[in-house]
Amino acid sequence: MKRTAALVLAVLMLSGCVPHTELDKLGIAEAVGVDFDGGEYTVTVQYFNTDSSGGVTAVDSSAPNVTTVSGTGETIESALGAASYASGSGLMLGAAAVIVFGEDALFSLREPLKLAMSHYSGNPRAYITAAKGKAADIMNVRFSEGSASVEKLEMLLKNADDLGLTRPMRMCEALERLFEPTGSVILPLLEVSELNGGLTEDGSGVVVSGGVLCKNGAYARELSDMQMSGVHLLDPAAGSTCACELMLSLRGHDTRVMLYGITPRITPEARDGRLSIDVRIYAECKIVSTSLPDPYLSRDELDRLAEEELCRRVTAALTTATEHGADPFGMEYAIRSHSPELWRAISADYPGYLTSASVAVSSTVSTDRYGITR
Amino acid sequence: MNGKTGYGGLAAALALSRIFTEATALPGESVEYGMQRFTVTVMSFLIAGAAYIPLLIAVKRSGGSSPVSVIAGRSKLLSGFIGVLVSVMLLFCAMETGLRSHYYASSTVFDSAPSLYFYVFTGAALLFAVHKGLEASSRTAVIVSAGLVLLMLLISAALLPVIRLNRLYPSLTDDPGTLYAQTSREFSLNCELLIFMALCGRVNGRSCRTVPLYLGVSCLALMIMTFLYFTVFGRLTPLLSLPFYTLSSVSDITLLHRINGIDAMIWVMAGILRLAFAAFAFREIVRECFTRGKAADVAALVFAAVSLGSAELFTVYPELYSISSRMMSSGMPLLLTAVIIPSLALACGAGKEKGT
Repeated sequence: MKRTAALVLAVLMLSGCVPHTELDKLGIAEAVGVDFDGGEYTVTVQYFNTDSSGGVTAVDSSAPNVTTVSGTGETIESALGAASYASGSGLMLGAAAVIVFGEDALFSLREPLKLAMSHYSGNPRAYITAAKGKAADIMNVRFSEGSASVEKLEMLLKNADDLGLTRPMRMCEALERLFEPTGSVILPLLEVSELNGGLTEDGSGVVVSGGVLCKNGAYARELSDMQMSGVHLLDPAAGSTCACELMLSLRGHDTRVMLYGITPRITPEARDGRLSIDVRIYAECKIVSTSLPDPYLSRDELDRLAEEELCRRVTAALTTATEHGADPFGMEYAIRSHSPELWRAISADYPGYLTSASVAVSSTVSTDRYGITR
Repeated sequence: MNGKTGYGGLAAALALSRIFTEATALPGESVEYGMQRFTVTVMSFLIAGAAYIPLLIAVKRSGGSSPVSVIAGRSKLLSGFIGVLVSVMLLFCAMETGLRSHYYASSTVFDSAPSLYFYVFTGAALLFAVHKGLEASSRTAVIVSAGLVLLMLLISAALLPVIRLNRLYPSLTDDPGTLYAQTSREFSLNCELLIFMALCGRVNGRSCRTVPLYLGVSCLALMIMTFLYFTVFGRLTPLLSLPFYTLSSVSDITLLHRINGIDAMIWVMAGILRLAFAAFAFREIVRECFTRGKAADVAALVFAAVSLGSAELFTVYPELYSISSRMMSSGMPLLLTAVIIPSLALACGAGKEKGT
């Protein structure tokens, strides 16, 4: 017994001979940009710069916290290999929080995402976005505070989500949508802009500028801010946490309201051989700011204005998607829940049924709390 | 290697063993999305419950002896036949466990480490477990089961924000044509039937209580796992080679992002325990049907080593695994064994054993 224990201990002491990577030789990727040009992929990786830490302070502000490196190859894997070679460190993708696809790389999303998701160290919670132009341009924006750009990108998406402007898409959700029958997903679109350039070193910032509808894993069309807001409102997953800010004109006064507790109810039916989609949106409303002296006296009108705006946004998103035979909202689940028989009847030609579907949107908004103006 | 175990410890080991086969998929195996999965799970457990009935009757009538020992006491020829039959099936079960453990470890924690490390470390742990005996392994199984319950609670709590109930829909069957095949396949994973059949004589009284306890716990755990897969991943589930492992990395809580380390540890230990219990069952069969000497203990150690080592054989020659898997996946060999052996034991006079 003692001999066995000694033998096991001896084996454990040989761990120095095990192949390993020192932390400072590891490129911990924080954001990845994927572009496609001339038949080749270019991958731009922002990774944690270990040289900026470990000094007197936890983080050395004189050195950039992130380093950007890129590599080119026929596949994303080989491009990552080239980037790894260029950086001189093994790239670890497990902590990548944002993956940006350039416009030209949006032709086949399924395989790269499947590869990233199935890898044991992949991050299923990473945000997936599209970029207007090159993803590398987004990766190369440097914020002046010295904090990693990826944190800014994450915050940008979260803020847009909180305001109801977009619907950030996690990798696991995006992949789920891509493997639904229509293979449709809507990604927020990032754009290099001078709008928030004051925060960056070179004056060029990043903004969320609408979104991109992909069908069968490939680019289908661009979506406006209004349509993206409709996508956000239709998100069945958001539940009571879903909120949206609206600017309304109440009796000629600019009134900013916040809708919260937004709950969509999707009722699909088959009518005359066509799919009929009835959407009802319920929401609570509170006033954020207004120049109207007594806004709460006009709350019925306010509710009506908010209802009209909600219907406009949701209709815009829904009709645009169904025209393309796309279902980026996960309506398949709603149809199955409502009637598994209906789903069995239409599943063989679901995109066809969507294209000819009739859409009816209604909403109910009630202002019970008056927000800060009260 | 001698000793006995309590029925609770054995139930924990068998439940852990059953859940292990679901959480650690083999290459090409996946969990199909659809509410039919719940029906298949319940049906396979009902069939498993029914398959245990003759065995439990035989055990009860023989006063707690295993049907194999009853048959061995009556006919040498019959015991030789039964011994070979059960040993072969146990060996297949153990080799499949080795393959699952190896695939799981090489896809997660061991990643790029050479296979040799997996065999050295898990092999040493396995041989140690077999050497320590049934009672010690049962106690370990209880501890690992407690770890698994904790892990499931952690995962469930961490995943609450991402659980979407709208991914569930009211339907018992999606494709009635595949229901039979899926249920057979699911039932064929119940190799614990053989382990219990061989070891029921080693339980400290009330061995019959093991079965409803382990079947109930396993069924509940599998339903919870399936519920989590579908409400978190929905249609994505079939694409994930190790969905339970992926579950543990989806959490919104940063602190829990790395609970997949606990997950890996639990399944590797569960694999080792499953192999150890298969080895104990094999030793019992050898002891009852062939030889009662020290050779049975040595045979069990060799069995454990060979079954783990054969994982490499199956990895290099997957067609070998496909052939053996095709034979077993109908569930018929298991069902026949579960019916034939207890029936033979009853015919050999299990009832008389009690009085003698």
